Amino acid sequence: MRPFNYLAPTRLDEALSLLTPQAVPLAGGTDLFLRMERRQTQPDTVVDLKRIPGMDGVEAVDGGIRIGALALMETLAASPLISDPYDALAQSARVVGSIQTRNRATVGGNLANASPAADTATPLMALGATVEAADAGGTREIPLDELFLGPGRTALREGELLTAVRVPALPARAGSGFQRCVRTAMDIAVVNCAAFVQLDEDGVVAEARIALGAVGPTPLRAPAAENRLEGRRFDPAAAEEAADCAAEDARAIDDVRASADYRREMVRVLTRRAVGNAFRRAQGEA
Amino acid sequence: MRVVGQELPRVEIFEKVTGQSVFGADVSPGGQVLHGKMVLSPHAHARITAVRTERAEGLPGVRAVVTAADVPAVRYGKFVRDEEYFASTKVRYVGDRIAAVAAVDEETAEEAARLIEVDYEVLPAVTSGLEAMEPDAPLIHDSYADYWTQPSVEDRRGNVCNHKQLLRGDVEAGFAEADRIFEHRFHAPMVHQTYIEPHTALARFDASGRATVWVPTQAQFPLRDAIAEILDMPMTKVRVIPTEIGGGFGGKISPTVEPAAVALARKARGPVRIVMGRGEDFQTTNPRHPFHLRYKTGVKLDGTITAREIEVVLGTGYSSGSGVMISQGAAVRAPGPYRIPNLKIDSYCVYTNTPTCGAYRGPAGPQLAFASESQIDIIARELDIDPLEIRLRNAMEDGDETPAGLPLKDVHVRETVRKAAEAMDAAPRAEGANIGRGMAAAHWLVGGMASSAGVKLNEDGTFAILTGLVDLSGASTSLAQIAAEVLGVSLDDVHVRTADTDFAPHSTISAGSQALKSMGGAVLLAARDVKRQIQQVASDKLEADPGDLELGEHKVFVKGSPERSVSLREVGRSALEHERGPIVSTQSVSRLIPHPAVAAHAAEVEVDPETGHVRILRYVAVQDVGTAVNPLSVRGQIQGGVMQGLGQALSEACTFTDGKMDNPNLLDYKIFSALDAPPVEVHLIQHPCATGPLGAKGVGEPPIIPPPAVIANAVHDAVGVRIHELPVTPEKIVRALQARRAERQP
Repeated sequence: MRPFNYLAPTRLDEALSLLTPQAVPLAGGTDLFLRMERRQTQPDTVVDLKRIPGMDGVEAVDGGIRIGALALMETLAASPLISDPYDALAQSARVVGSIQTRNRATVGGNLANASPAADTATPLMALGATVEAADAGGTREIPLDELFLGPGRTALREGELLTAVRVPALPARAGSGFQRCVRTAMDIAVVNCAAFVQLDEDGVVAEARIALGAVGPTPLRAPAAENRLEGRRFDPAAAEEAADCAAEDARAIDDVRASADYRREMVRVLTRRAVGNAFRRAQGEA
Repeated sequence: MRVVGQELPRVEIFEKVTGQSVFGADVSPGGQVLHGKMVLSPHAHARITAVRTERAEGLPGVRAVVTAADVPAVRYGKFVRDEEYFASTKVRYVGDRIAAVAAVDEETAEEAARLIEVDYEVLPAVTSGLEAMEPDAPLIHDSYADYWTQPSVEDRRGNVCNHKQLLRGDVEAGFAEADRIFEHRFHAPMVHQTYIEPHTALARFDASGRATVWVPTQAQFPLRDAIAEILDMPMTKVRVIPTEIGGGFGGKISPTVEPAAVALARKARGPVRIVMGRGEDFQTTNPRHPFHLRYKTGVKLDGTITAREIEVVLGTGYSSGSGVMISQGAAVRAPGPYRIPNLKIDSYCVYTNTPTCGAYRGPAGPQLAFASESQIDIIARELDIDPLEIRLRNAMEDGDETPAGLPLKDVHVRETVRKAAEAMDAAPRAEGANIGRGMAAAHWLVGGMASSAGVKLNEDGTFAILTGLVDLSGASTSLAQIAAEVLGVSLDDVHVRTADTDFAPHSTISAGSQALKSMGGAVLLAARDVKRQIQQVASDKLEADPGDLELGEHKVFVKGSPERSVSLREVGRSALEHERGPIVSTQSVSRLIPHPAVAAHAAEVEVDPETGHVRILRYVAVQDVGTAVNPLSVRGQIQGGVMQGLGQALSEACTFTDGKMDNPNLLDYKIFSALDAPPVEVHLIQHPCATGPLGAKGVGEPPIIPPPAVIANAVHDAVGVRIHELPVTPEKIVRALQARRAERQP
């Protein structure tokens, strides 16, 4: 690893002023230090955000929640604000890395790292989340669907910092589900999938959102699968059809972790299961 | 027994858990230590047309660059002299050594390594053993015919560096006698030991021409010999000091970076440390041989095996390494723990453009058992015989011989296998669909190497064991237990420290399940001799016949009159004034005849037929261990072996594209972690073994052998598909299930 300057500001505006093009922000460091060790990133300066107060909490805001970028995976997994209503998100946070990783890794880092397999990205997409991006000029909101541009690439501008994640209020008769497929217990997802459904008073799907991980250059929405569900009541055939559509939506490739064929097949299986979980929760069964 | 057989914590455990143990990369010799870095081939097979080191040598901070030109032109190898330390004319795998550099810091060393320029003429490469046997395969060693070999090396041709054939009875007559004949092919890929501590060495070269090397090694004496041979130095001008070792599993026996560290230290005139990164360790050390296997078995309808014809192809890598020995051993072990009257076994050791494979824990064992025990399971199902029954029917017994004609004693196949089935059957099957059970049995032949050890009485009445044995997995504790048992003291009163090659009596390597067996024998003899010396000194004090004296509770006392006693402390002190002098003894054992150690495992699994995910619900491991000197260590060894074996069963494989390893990192080389580990129910079968100290058998290797077969058999029982290629991945299960559905709906 190349030597670097280490700065640990205690105010956000100070941190933003330090984020020059040769600087990188540091949260948990579980991705950053690996990249630095492999010389994929060689910053002059590392700006540690952990001493800035108030960036690591989960709070109720406007009926929804606002999660500080520095909130730990373990915080997401344990927060009562998350673990009941936003079940898919809590489940995804519970399977990231090891216990040690989860006590270090942050949600902001998981998103800003822009891995196609990021476990919290798909549930947050399915839940309709946005992120707050701040720079010296102010703060803007970016829908999560628009954040990811490619592996390791986001819509964050130079000098812009992901400061929080906002998840909108959970409507009545809504639920989510998360599924993932791995090689061993502690693994990057071979495929992950999150589903969200909102039912109207008659139990018909008013809105569905399905997001797929590790089957494209970024976490993906599965629009064909979502369309297939909307206007339908829950039945196994509906979930099956949506799952088939999701397999079509996936842009899986062959790599050392799995073949494209297996990934597509797993998209089908996991989508059906995640949709089933989401329905059961929306119907108040789970 | 008082100390032997007790579950006692390891003698060095406090240092380990408090982080005080000094491992390879922790050693500090004083003064500035230079950072060494290897320069490795990026090509799997290429001719070297030029190596230019000037730019690297000119970089400020670089203290030495060494290449083939800096070391003697020695071609080495224990069975075939087919290896050169730095490649001179040709590279034969991705990772072949071109050069090494030493610099004042790591950054500079890395930069210097990048500045070494090599011109290559790339050649076609082959990474599969089977493909390397084809007549048109690229020849990896152009002048193989000129290489020196040991007499036991047979039938070399092209890339085949050894072909061992074993014949027993008349295999054709055996097949003629059979009611059914089964033939299957299996494949087990290369897998890596994945010890927690990557290879590292620190070398110093002093003014008198002596090299000192601190290194975590399982085999300090052979390593010393190898360094001396490679650098053409007198053996005792090389001193190897073994550090604590962060796991070896057979991967830390052969030299890796040590000769380079010495060559750099000599040229740079300062100590040099080389620490491998994980990627380098995965790609340049000594993993388990990939095997292609063909098993043809004839059986009677009652399950009696009449004949087996077995073909084994080991891809050994760019040099033969220990592959010749392992392929010869594979031939002997291939039929499994069964009495089979007619056998034809062909075992081929084949060069490939990959790292040289080594002696990973139970070398050849898991691959052979996967094939053999999968086929036994297939046969049992086809003949509708219980999997336990077919194994009991064919089990070998005392007096049976190995295929090489060695008569076997202390054989406990039936009892071990029966116990595994009984332990699994003790609980009902889990409820639900896609649940399956499987079992497998294996034997391992544990020999023993020549060893010596010393025991001395300290002047305070405690004892020390003098040994050169590296403690990998509790051997020091068990040796101390043996001495404490004989000498009538507690474990705390026996101190064990591993000395180095200059000062330790020659000790066996910590490998082959025989560290305790060999060294325990020497310690037992030395402790008994020390006891005799103590009795002799005490007899003068107590005015009693030495034969009437007993040792216990730190005292020597007269049999039947415990009030007539003298303390060991007093004996220790008075020995200095006594005519016999200080009390110390060094004793030796020679090579030991191999005994079979049997492992029988059973598992219950649940398979998700949609994702192919396998969940292990229960795992039973039964092992025939002779006397368990420390049952805590023995159980730990067995559980650890099962975990490593399960990784090989379900998730581990080194895979290659164009000769380059695809997954040289812990993200994509998937070992079992604590989160994957099922509880393992261990049962010990304890019958004292005639050839082990106090009846102990070798323990370390057998538990890694059955798991791949156990899992394959349990998966078949659960969902009805047979996986012939390791690892049994979810993807393979899903594909097999899809293929079966396609077959059923034409």
